[in-house]
Amino acid sequence: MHIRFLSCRLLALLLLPLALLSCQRDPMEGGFNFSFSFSFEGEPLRYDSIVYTIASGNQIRVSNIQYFISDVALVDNAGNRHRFQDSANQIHYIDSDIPATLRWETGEAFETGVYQYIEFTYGLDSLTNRNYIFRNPPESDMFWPEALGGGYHYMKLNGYWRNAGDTVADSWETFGFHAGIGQTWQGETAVAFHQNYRRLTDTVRIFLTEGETRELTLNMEVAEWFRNPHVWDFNEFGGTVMQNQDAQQVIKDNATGVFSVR
Amino acid sequence: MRRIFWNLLALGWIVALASCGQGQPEHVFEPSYFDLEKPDYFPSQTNVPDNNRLSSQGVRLGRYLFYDIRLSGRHEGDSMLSCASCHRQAHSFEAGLDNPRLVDGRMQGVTGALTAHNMLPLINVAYNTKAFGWNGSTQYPAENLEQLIRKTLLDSTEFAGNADSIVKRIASIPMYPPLFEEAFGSEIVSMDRICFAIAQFVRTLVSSDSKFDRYMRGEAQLTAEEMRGYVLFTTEEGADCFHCHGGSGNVLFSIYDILVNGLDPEEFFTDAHDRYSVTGNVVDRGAYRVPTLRNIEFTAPYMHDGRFSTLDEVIDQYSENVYYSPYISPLMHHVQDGGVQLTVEEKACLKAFLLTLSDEGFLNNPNFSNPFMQDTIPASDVSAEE
Repeated sequence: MHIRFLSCRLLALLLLPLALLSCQRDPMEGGFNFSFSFSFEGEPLRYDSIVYTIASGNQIRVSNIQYFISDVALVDNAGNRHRFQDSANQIHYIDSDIPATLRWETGEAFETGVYQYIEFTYGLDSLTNRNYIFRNPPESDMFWPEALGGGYHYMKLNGYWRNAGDTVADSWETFGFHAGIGQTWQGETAVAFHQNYRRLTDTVRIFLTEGETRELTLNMEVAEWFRNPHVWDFNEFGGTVMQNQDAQQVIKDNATGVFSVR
Repeated sequence: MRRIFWNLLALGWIVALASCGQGQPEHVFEPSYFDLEKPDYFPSQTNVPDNNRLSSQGVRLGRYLFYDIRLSGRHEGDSMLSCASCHRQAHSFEAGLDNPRLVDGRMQGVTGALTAHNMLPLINVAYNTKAFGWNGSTQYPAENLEQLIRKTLLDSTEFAGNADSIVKRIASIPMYPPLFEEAFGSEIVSMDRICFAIAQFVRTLVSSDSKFDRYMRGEAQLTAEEMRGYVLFTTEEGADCFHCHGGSGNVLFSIYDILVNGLDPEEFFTDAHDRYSVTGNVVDRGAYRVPTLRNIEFTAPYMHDGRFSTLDEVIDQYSENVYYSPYISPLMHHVQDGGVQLTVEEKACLKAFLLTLSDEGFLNNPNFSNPFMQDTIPASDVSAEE
C-alpha cells in the first residue's frame, strides 16, 4: 500500500512539468493584426462629397474602394520569408463600405525577433486567381469575366471625374478604376492575357517580442494611383479600363508607391 | 441495515422513473430539418436564421399560409388576400402583367391602396444577405425575411392587417393548429410563427435549372447568339451589366446593392419611398435595389415603378436613355453617352442571353404550387386561392 502511494506521488511529480509546459504558449512567438486605411495626400480619404485634384489636373470624387491583398509574408534579417500559414489567411478582402473587412485579426504566430520588411501581393497572383474560388458575396461580386481572362478584380476604385475647368453640375463622369487581368485583342477576340498583380514590399522594421501581437496599418494613398511613375489622365483612358491593357499596365506600375505599412 | 439500504434504493428508482414518465409529452416534437438543395456554384451563405431552420413541417405550414386568402384576417370575399394573390408562381412569384391587382405598375392591396413600388420576384431569396425591398428598408442582418413578412402583413397598402385579427382568423381554421404543432411543437398560433413558417416556404423557392445553369454544369451549350449576348453582358465595352447583375461569378444575377441607375433625371426624383427615405442621405436620392435577372422573361412589369412592360424596353433604356444625376452609381458607365449604345443585333444577342436565365421547372415545380389544389386536407378546412 505504501509503495503504491509513493509510486503515485512520483508519477504525479514527474507529470507536473509536462502538464505545465503543455499549458503554456510558445514563449518565442508573437503575432500580427492588420487595419486598413485610405488617404489622399496624407489625409484620411473622404467619400463622395470631397473633390480631389489628381496629378493630371483632373478632379475626382471617390465613392468606394474594394481590393484584395494576398500571400502576406514577413522577411527576417537573414532574408527568410515567413508566410501566413492558415489557408484562410492567404487572401484578404478589403472594402471601404464594409467596416469588418478593415480589420484583420490574423491569428498567425511568428518567431520573436526583428523583421526587416513585409511583403504581400496586391491583387491575386496567377496561381491563385482562378474562377469560382469565392462563392459568397462580397468577394464573389469581385469576379472578372471569363471573356476578359477570368478570376477576380484585384481592385475596384469607383468614383466620378471631370476636368479642372468644368464647373457645370452635370459635367461629372463616372469611372471604374478597375484592375485585373488584361488582354491583347484581335478584333473582338482576346488572343492573350496579361497578369497585372504586383508583389510589393514595405521596408518597415518590425520588432516582435515574446507574446506580443503587433498592430499594423496598411494604408492606400489614393493620389499615388494617378501620378507615380505615370500621370493618369482620364481624358486619355476614360472611365472604363477593364479591356485596356495599356491602362492596366499603368495601374500595375503605379501600384509601387501606393501602399505603406505603419 | 443492508436490507433497509437496498429497499430504499429500489424505492428511489421507482420514484425517479415515475416522475420521468409524468413529464413526457404524448407527441415528441421532432421536426425534419433540412438544408436547401443547390448546385455547388451557388453561394454557401444564406439568410436562414438559427432560430428558424428549414423543416419539412415548417415549410408545409408556410406553403398553406402563403396560398391562403384568409391570411388577411378578414372574412369578406373582396377583402381577402394571400401572398399568392400577387406573388404568382407562373411569374416567378411576381405579379404578371395580367394580374387584376396590377394598376399602373404597382399593386393594389387589400384596401385598394396602391403599394409604393412594383413587386420584386420571390426567387432565390434565401441567398439575399443584403437588403430586402426596393429601398432596402428591411436590411439584413438587423432584419430578415421574417420581419419583412410581418411588415407586409401589417402594411396599409398591402394586407393592411391587424395582428390580433390575423392570428384569431388562422387559429379558428381547424386545419391549422395541428400544422402549427407539427412545425413548432404546440398548437399555439402567433404572428411570429405565421411569419416564420411563410419565411421557411419562401426560402425554398430556389431556381437553379435555367439553361444558363445547365451551361454552368456543362450540361448544355449556349448558342452563338446567346454566347455573344453573355460576352456583351459581362464586358464594360459591351452592355456592361455584370457589375450590378452578376454572371458566372455571381449566379444570383444581382449584387442586391441599392444604386441610382440612371432611369430618370434628377428633377424626377419625386418618389417618397426611395432609398433616401430610409437613410436620409442625399446620395441615396433615386436609388433602388438591384433586382435579380433570373426568370426576367416572366417578371414584367419592370423597374421599381413598373414602367416597362417588355424586356426590349428595358434594354433600350440602358442602351440609349440613361440620365445623369449627381449620385448616379459610378458602376453606370457611359452615362455621358446616354447609355451603352447597343446595335440592333447586339440587343438581340443580349436578349437571347437573358432568356437563358428562364427556369421553366421553377415555374412548374409542384412543391411550390397551391397546396389547396392538390392536398388531403378535409374539404371543410380548405380555402383555395382565387
